[in-house]
Amino acid sequence: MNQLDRNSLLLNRRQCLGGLGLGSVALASLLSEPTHSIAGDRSALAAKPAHFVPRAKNVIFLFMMGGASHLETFDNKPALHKYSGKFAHELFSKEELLGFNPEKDFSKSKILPPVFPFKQHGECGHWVSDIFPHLSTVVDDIAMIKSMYAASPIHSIGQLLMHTGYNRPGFPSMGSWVNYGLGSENRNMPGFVVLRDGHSDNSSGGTAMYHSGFLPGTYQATVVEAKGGQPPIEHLKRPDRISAGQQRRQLDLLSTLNQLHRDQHGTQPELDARIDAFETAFQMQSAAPQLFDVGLESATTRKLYGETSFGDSCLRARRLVENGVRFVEVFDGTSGRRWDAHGNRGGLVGNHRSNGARTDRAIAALITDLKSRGLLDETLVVWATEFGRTPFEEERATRGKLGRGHHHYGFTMWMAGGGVKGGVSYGETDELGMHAVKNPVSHHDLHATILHLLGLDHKRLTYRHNGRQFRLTDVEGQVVRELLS
Amino acid sequence: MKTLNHRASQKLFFRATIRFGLIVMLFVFFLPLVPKAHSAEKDKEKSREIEFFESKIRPVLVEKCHSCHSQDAAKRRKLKGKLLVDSRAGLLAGGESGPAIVAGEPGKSLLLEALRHESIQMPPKEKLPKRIIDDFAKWIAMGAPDPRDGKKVDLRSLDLEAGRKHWAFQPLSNPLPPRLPNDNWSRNEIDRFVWAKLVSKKLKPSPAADRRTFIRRANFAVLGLPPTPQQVKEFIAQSSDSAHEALIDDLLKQPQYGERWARHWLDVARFGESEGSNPEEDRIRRNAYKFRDAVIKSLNEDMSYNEFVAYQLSGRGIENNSPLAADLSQFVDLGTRLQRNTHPNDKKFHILDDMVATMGNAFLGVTIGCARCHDHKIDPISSEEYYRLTAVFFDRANVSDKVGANNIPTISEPHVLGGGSWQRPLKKVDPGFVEVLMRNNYRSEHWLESDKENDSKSNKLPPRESLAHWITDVEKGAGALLSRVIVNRIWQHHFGRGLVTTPNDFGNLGARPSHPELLDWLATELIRQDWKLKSIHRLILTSATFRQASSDRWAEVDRDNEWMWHYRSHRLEAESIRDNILSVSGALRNSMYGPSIQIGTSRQPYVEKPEHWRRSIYLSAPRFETHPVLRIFDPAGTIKSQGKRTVSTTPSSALFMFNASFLWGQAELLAKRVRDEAGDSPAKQIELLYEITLSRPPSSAERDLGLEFLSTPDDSAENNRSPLIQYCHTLMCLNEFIYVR
Repeated sequence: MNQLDRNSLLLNRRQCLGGLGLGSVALASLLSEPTHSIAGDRSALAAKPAHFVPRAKNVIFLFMMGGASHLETFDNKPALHKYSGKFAHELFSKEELLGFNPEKDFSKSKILPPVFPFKQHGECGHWVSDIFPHLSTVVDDIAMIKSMYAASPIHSIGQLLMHTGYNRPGFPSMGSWVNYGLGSENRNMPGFVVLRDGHSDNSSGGTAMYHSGFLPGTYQATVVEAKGGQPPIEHLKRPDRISAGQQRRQLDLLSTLNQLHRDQHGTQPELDARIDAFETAFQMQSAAPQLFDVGLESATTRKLYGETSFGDSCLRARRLVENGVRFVEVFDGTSGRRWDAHGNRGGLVGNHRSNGARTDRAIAALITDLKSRGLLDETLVVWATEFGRTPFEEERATRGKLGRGHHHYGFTMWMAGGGVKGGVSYGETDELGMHAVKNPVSHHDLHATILHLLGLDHKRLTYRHNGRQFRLTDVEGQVVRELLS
Repeated sequence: MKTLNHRASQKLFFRATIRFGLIVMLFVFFLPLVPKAHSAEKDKEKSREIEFFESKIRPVLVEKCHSCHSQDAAKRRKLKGKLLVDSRAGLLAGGESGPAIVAGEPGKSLLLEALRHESIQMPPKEKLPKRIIDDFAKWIAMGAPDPRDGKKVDLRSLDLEAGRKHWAFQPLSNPLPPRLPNDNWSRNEIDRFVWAKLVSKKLKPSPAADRRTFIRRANFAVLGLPPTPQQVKEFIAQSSDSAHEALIDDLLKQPQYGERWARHWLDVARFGESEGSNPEEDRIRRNAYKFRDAVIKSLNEDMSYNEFVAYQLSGRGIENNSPLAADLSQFVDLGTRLQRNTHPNDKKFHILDDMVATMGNAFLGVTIGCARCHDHKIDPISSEEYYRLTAVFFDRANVSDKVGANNIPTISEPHVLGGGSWQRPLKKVDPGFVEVLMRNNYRSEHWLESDKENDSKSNKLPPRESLAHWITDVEKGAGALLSRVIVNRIWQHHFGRGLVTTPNDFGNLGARPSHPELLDWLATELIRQDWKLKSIHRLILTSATFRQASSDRWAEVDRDNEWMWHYRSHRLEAESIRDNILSVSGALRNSMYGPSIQIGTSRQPYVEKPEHWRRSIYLSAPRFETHPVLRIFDPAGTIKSQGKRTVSTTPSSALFMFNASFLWGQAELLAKRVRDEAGDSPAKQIELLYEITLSRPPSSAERDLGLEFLSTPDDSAENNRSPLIQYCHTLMCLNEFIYVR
């Protein structure tokens, strides 16, 4: 599991080919078997044993970009009605109010009660607002974490923290760490796939969220932009004038030549990663179109997911984990459609109503579908966001719409499946939903818990870089055992 | 209500390792009553109290607290929590958590709480004996008598004094290149520094790279293009030792040098050709290409770097004037804009922030932008200095100043803004620069005031001109750092790694230089050479350090090649990969300058045409679209100054290599070129292809593999690509094709 082993694996691979004496015929015949991968299963991508018995094999990470309001989704705060219209500064200190999005001023903000009605659902009695009518039916599978907190009210930083554990670019994403730790069970697909829908938002965490950082490039996410009508992955289709056999032959030649170069001049991790990438890419051409083709699902299943763009992404996520892709992120929050409910555009009401409508059915379907296929036990579903929203309205007198500011002192996320105790509600914010007061959970704690469910000890999953061992959880993080089944 | 919330936040702050939270007072003390007394008795009493302080309190403060809470600590940049306990004023004023003591009220004195390890724990690693803590309680109850000088200390000046000790903010040390007795390797001064470091690390340099490797490496480094087979042939045929120097001199004269290195500068300058406010309607800037062209021209004519900087900041040179001045001065305006319906103040401060932050990153490697909402947490840059810099650019950030619907007036004069919000303008500010980068008690005014005597009416220079004077002023201003930052960028692009690995951050959060003396020597040398960048290129490119071969022992020795013991292979940037492909296929057109090649939009997808086959620097760079080939290989962002590209390796880029019609089209052209030049003999074709694509002949194993591949009959329909085209395509997919070594 340690770095040394990983290096010696790479070296072995090289020694293996170098030791053949390079008779070209011998090499060519060795490599001509159509399904043989030159990288072999000794590569960095091969499946590896966990630290201890895992509860989950795969992760579907549903990321609601923009900061979904805990007060409009799962954290019911009736007391806000009582204080409605009071100035925030009557209830909170100046310092507390300064902590929010730095470009806004909250000194004249007034308390804003929840804009949607809440009801209790399921046997567990989880509170859910009425923007999630479908999700309300599966709450008994869900463990709520109502005491999340983060270190920044800035989108880009909050998103980086949730994905990489660090507040600046350059660190490996959680999906990269997981693949580094566990390898992939499907050599025909990348182990870390991000499903996005259209434009990325330049102001936020950007591609740094899915980067492998200092981990070998092999573990980097493959980002799939599902633009309407186009194939989900660019350049996936082989040109008409090349047959599959020809391409295989070409790839074998390419791999052999790359290996020769490697044997002569030594190598670097990024060169090896590129050799692996070609192999995976070749396999992806036949594997990916099928995996991404939601048309191969029954009409009933498609209907269940809602036949929307986000629904198709959730359905694809299920198809991917079903086929051994280790970590799939469904990123919800394309330009103009993120959860960032300020007082502009549709305002809080319009924003969360439409975001709820877009995602509710699909997420509920994902849980139902995974469960009916017996996959929920081994698939961890995480509903995440970078922060919540302020209990008070941000001061934005220019518009007539209600809105809340960025709020990182306390918010809600949830997990389901993969070793998680359904129906649990963990942690609390205070009466006004301002601070996580009971059992606060940081992004480090969340990461530690996710790794734990996958059978990885967050303190032992390390990589040496710049002279020291790095972890996803830096020097912090505690597994939240109360969430484990 | 409030208490509850405070406690909650306290818990959070602790989790977030913020030591000083807001404190809830829990303990109230019953104080001994101080008897009223006559004046003589009073004096006696007083001296007893002072005696108490001197014997019981002061020694503890000195021994246990001063290391983190004194002026001395501040000078060493060790001051914690902005709390000074080495004066009475310091204790009463307190630090970030509020007053440390309230005279006469132990129950309200944070210091006691800290000593008792109740909320804050001080000293952090040891709890003092109860006896001592009781002394402190008693002393505070007495009214905290304290004879020490009561003057309020100016933490800011202490901060600056300490800040200037940071390596990057110091004057250039002008070190002498070390001369070690056993050094028979060095070719120039650079090598002597590198050699000394290698010796100290018990490492040896690698042998020199062979000539083929060298010419390929140097070509990519200087021009971003591969050498032609003919050029390689001529270079390896020369026997004289001066061939390398002659090659470098020749390369630096090529106009493609400007195209290659302008691209590096465009990354730093956050160059983009649209407003970047909104993907749906991204207004194109029709004249932005003129900035790009001016950068290419400036580099090709080897304009002095200080002039280059001055033109970009102010449109005026330091001593000279250039016809390129106007186009270069677009630098300031290249940044993004906010959406049309945004409040004018938001728009204005967005532009100002872009100008100030980019100026800091690009020229000085300082993250000034962090001081927008508060004093810089790490580097000694105050929020006020940030806003004084916005004042420098204030007239350049033009927005239509329609008053917002809510009647919040536009900010028409530069102000310090509380928490970065224009709704809280705190005080008016005049233009000014970064104080930690001023020496010998010079203030901003020194550069703001014109030294021309007969400038009768106003002795003020336009602020941006003053900025240019300050930033290039080596003796008194920021010139030393300016020089360090640019020589580091040059080094980084030649070796794939900078001497400072955080090229845009030389501050306290950035990396420290691997070879500090070498960096200073290079920076000094640049200034000595009248800021001519080509002089630094020449030094680097003719060094033994640059001439080393790559080693295959990377994992065992120094993984990241921090000590420069070999030449670490690195991938070409997106533009060079595309240029390389076009170059080997023979498709590359060498026309320079002019409006950018349009690359389509989401509504009108890009259709490639042969007239687009120019160097990639001429491809349009709107802020929400990227050319489909460049997109694959981690191009620069266009929003913020970028000092370093990322290198990703994903199946997506492999899929591109396999299947993109661009690469197949170029493979077809390459195959045609090879047939034309080498005829029908497969052996000759392979020979020539290796020379064209990899600047070397094939090994026998490679030749055999090639012959075998070319001799295999087509296994399917005749419409398919010929084996030669496939072979050409494969060679362009090789690691060696896009990694320089």
